[in-house]
Amino acid sequence: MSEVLIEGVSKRFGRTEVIHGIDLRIKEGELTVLLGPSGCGKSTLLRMIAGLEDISEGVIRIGGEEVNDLEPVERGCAMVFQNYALYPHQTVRRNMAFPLKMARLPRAEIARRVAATAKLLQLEELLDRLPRDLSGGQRQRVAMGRAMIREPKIFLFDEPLSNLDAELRVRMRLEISRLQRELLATMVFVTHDQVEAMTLAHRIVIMRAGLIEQVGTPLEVYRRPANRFVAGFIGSPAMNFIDVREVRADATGSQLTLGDGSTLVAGALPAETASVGIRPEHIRIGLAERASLSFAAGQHRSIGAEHLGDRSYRYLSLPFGELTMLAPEEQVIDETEPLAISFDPARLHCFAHDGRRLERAAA
Amino acid sequence: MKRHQLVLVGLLGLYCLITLAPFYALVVRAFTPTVQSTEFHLWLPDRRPLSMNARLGDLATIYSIDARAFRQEMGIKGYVNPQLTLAQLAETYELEPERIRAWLEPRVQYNGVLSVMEAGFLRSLLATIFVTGVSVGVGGLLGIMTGSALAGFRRPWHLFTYNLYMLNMIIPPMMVILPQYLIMTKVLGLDDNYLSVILIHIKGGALSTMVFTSYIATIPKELRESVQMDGGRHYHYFFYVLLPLMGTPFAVFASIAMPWMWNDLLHPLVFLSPAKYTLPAFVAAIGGTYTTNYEAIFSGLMLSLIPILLIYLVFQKMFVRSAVAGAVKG
Ligand SMILES: Nc1ncnc2c1ncn2[C@@H]1O[C@H](COP(=O)(O)OP(=O)(O)O)[C@@H](O)[C@H]1O
Ligand SMILES: [Mg+2]
Repeated sequence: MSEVLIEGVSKRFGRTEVIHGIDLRIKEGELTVLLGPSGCGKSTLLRMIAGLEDISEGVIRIGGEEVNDLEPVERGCAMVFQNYALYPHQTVRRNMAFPLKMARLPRAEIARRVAATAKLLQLEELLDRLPRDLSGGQRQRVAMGRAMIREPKIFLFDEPLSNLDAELRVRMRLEISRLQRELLATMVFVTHDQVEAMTLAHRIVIMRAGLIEQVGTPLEVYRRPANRFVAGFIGSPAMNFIDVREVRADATGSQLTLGDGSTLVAGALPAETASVGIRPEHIRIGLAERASLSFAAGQHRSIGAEHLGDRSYRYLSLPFGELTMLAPEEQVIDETEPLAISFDPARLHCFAHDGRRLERAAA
Repeated sequence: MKRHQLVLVGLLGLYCLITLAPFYALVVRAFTPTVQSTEFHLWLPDRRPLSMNARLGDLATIYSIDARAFRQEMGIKGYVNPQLTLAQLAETYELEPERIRAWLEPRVQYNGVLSVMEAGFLRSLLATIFVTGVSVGVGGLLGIMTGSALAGFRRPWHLFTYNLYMLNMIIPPMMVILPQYLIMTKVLGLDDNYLSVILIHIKGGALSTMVFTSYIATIPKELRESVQMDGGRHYHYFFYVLLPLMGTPFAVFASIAMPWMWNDLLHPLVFLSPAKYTLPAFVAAIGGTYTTNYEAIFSGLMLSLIPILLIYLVFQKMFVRSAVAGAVKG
């Protein structure tokens, strides 16, 4: 049993509280990603699970057993650090053998397990090299090997891919996924990169300023973000938010008065909607039958474009604010011509004044 | 080569010359007879062959030759008139002139080096190696331990302790020599004991504390945490991870501290008896009592430089690496 239960956990450094009473359940055999902006307390939470940091308040249970007062090694966790923390003067072989040596395993057993792990991670040729003679990706694999070799119940990763270049990061992401499936391991993975989170996670925990904002599968947090923060954090480029001054309901649906006084007609929306969000990929150019906005020539201005080859993002300045949208590469937006944009009202996210998500009444 | 490169090479050459010139002068001096010591020589001066008309007493004074050893060697019993020339001596005591020449000539021709050797240079060299070696080794180890405790200044008292060590650096050794002497002899009973000089060298350790504390602070704390995650205790971290990484800072420390300990004159003079002197004190003592045998002094200085130069040459790579440490991330 390697389920991790976090109950009312707080962390204080001196007088500053950086984690404010968190409850979380990390399911056995799942890869859970802690995601949040830098400084929100992800590493601190991970280090409390690992036992590297005292728990100021609350209880952490692993496999049902309270571990607050257990040493790191007694918790059955292994950790992969951002800078890999390989012992610089020891060969790959000795680095990987170190945890077993500490556990006082017989030499033959150590050699056998090092060989098996090296094979799994394709490190066999590198066993006698020093960490400084390895590439970033190889160091990363050695660090994982050293974590795996003790056969821990739980793997903890603290931004392990952030020192790698983009291409390697994708490869290592796949590698970690593969290992997770093969070992059926429970993994907790800290990152501030939402792409990493979306691609790796079974479950994403989104944190902000020492609190959990939402827990859910990648698709859940993408489709139904619990609040404006999550909505803005997940997805790249970020979701567009449009302030709403007033919502008037009539027989056909809701009429929104936007910040600049223009109106938008959408399906039935909750009356206390203070802002709506729409993702760049859900906006189309041209008039469609329902939610749409038109702008006269001169009312809209292009403030930038990103061409990625297969798609391109356009950044527009509109009377009610700025807007990002996904458009086909060949689409030309002419500032001297009128412009119309439209979207499916079902894609619209509604948020209350305090940023909370508002559910639309089932149509 | 471009012109600015030539200028650069020229300047570097000049700098080398200026740095190395004193060493060259020292070597020339070591082979310049004391009688010529007021003259300036650019090359080893020619030695005049031993004249059989020289008086024994003059030779004994100028070259610090042991007259008793001479009499024993020649089998002469009783008083020898120092006013006799060597030729007269040979006649009076019926000695073959060649025999006198054979014994005296090297002592005149290679006076400096021979006097130093005969005065017990090797014994003194061993003592110096022992004292310096133990001081650098134990001092370095203590510095590593202090540094590993203080690195990062995680508690207010860490900085306080560190500053106390630094304070040690500004106390002039002369000022505390008397209380130190009293402590060594009366309290610790280390009268005329190498241990006293070693203790003086490793006490406080401002330099080692500074070097190791700052170097250990650059070692990522994840290494320690990684050992902790693997179930290692602090001493596992210390021996398996920290200590093997200390080569570079140790070379920094040793390259600065070693010459200082090697060349320490004051403390051996105060704490040790002449029979136990380390090299600088030994060299200072071989000058002679009534005259000053400059040849012997300069020879002693030259000979005591050779071992430490050898150490530098052997460990050159390490010292150079320590000088560029930090330039490249490990
Ligand atoms: N040892 C510490 N002492 C004091 N404050 C700390 C310490 N470690 C982390 N913090 C603070 O706790 C907050 C969360 O840090 P961290 O968990 O490292 O954030 P993240 O990993 O999400 O970027 C930050 O504001 C950081 O300054
Ligand atoms: Mg972090």
